[in-house]
Amino acid sequence: MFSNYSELLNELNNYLWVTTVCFPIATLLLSQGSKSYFIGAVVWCVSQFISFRIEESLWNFAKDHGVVYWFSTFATIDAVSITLIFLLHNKLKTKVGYEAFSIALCFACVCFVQIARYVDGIVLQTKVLGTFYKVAINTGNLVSAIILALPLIVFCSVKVKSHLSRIKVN
Amino acid sequence: MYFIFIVLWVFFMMHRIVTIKETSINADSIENWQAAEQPNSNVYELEALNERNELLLSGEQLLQSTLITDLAFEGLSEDSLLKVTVKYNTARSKNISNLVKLGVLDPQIEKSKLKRSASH
Repeated sequence: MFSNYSELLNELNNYLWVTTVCFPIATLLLSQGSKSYFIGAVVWCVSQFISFRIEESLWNFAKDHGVVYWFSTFATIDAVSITLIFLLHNKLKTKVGYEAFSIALCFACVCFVQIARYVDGIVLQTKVLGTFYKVAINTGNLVSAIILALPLIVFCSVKVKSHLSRIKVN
Repeated sequence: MYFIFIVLWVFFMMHRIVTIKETSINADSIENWQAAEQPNSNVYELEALNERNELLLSGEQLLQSTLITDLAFEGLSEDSLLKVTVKYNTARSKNISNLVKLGVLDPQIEKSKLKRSASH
């Protein structure tokens, strides 16, 4: 079951990047979502874009110079993203919504997973977090995609509820 | 060493984000408290209603007092009653137009009242 879940995540991961970009755009077009949601969404999309862009070259670089660069770069991207979420909210004097907070929490978890994987694989040499690392990173992406879809889900549920109540009245 | 710094930084930032959340909520509650201290639009409406009633009452009292004075001086003859009635109607319409100008009375309602009284 766990391997199925891992495979499913790997398959989903290919589409998650597209959906994480599409959800905020759809939310913007439907005039849904708060300022805090869009801060979280923009930071998430930019960090994902940078991660995808540097992934291949970074792997080649890490193979030659040490895997520490691989983990430290992604951990730094996550830490910088959390800092950006904080700074943008502070600058725009916006209340941190549950979406931005959840995305920051996702970044923090993914960052800790990167560090934990480095400690497990390189420092301690135990190498027990191999599968966990892949699953955790992909689950983080999936959770973030769900969080970014939440305003749309709420909007659709409200529309469906109002439609059903109208049908009942008629 | 670098990873320890990253972990501490992430914890610090998460703490700051949570603190922002709390301070924003506190700011909101302070704003709500300040708003509660300030009279809202309903209170203004109520005050306007009281002022309107007072104005109407004072206008009526002024008319009554002038009419009583006129009657006292003119006596209760038919001519004097007619004169007083004309004077009353003129003063009343002037009073109403003033109140309409001040925005105390609704011009549409007053117009409809006039039409109704004319038809009767």
